[in-house]
Amino acid sequence: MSSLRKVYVLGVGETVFGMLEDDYHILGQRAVRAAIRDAGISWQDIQSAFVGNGTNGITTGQRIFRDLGMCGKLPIINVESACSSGAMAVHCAYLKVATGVDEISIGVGTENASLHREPGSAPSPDMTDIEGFLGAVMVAKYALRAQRYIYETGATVEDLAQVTVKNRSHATNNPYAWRKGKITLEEILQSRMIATPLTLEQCCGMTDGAGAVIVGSEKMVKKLGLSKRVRIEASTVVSGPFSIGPKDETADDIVTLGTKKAYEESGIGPEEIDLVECHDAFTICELLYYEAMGFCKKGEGIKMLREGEVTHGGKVVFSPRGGMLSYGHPMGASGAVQIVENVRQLRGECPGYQVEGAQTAMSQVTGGGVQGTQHAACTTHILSI
Amino acid sequence: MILHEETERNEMADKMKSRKEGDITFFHPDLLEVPENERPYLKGYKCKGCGKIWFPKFIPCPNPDCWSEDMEIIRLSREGKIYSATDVYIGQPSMRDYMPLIVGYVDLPEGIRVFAQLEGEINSFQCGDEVELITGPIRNNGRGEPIISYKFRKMAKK
Repeated sequence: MSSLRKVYVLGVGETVFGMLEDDYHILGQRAVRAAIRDAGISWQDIQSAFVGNGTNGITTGQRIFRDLGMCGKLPIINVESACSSGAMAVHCAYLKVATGVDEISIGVGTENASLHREPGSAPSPDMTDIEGFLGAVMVAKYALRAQRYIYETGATVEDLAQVTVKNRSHATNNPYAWRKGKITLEEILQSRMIATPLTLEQCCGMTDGAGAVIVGSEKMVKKLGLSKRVRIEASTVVSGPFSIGPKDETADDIVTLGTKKAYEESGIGPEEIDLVECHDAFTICELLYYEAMGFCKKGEGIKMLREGEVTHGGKVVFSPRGGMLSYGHPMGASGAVQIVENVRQLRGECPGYQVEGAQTAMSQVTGGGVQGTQHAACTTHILSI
Repeated sequence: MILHEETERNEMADKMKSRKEGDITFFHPDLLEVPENERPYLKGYKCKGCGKIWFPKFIPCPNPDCWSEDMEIIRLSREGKIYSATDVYIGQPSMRDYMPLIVGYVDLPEGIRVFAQLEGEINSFQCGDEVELITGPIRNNGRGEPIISYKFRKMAKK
């Protein structure tokens, strides 16, 4: 690993998230242009592009960059691993610079779900997956984990709902977030049941959006004279360990594997991390991840939440942008936009939702469900300033 | 002659298409055996190379140090224990007729965890419940006919 070059984030861009009329390629273009403006570079400086998208089609990246007149000027590679796609695109851009092939590369995540998916249905593994064929949807798989977590730890559904209360409150002043501000426990628990014990307000919405991250070498940082230098300390991708036997569904083997790798790569441990954007697609996820990422011991996640350790003023702020429970979760976009928001936090550019003095930020996004794995993929980034 | 070939090709395309659309009514002979005068059971695949038991069928053996293609079919236990269960109200678009759908993980004594639909009342399954294998409709095929496969229900209290 020592032969890798240092990689920095030169610029970031995102769209407002929500149910949007514009399709994925237009959203992607908006994020790319915002990132180029933010970096203060020309489109010509970008030597390669990686585009993450979950379900909108084929050659999605070329579709984005053609309309910007950039097709034919750079290689464009499309990256897909369901919900992990956007972060994986940034990972690929990172590798391109870290290995010295390029000086500047861009990772984009984009998705329009609402224009393409049938309302009132839930995403599922595909029909070649035995669980998918038997009717599994992702929310059911998480509900099964929530039921078991409640059974084993004595947590209550009210505890789970507190994750929504916290994340929506974090997002109150975030102009890019979708559902934000005050929501009561009663409103959450009385919302429509999706899969017991997860009610609608404990689930990420079906939204649309895009994020883009431009990464570059130390040479480029100096050339651009960047004063706020956000460095990528770790960028890791792991695939899900496979077993047909019993797994502890209150633990998360792939998230533990991915974060452990990121901690090793960066030399940074959980005690040094100020904020985390995680895959909070459902309330249960955050509780599992406090533990799986090593922020507390197994079974103590609920204590962290109850004692205010995962909000402003606590040990580590989870989901300061509001997480997926506020943004919704456009499959291809989420992983990239988590990184965009973490960069803004480290630069101190989040008025009204700033984690004061933040110096180190982590983002984690899993992807897909394949029978015998807890998730098919997990991408983790640790950034510092 | 040319016409004849065309017809054959079209028939082949139709056949492929209907297979893709899914006109099966049983899922799946590789997974489930329903003997005439006996209770149904799941088929485990015991690798003759490394001895590991798999479900569902994998060829080759997914143990990367083995990859044997030689598997012996064994009968898996009909009874197991609920690891977790949930009632699903929002599912796949094609599963509307089946909502709410009760699903769970069932642990079999062979060390295998099976995801399955559960038959019974909503809000009635608990972690640790003992269940047994039955057969029943699990979804509809492309023609709207039910597809029969394995499910589990609570064991009658002894």
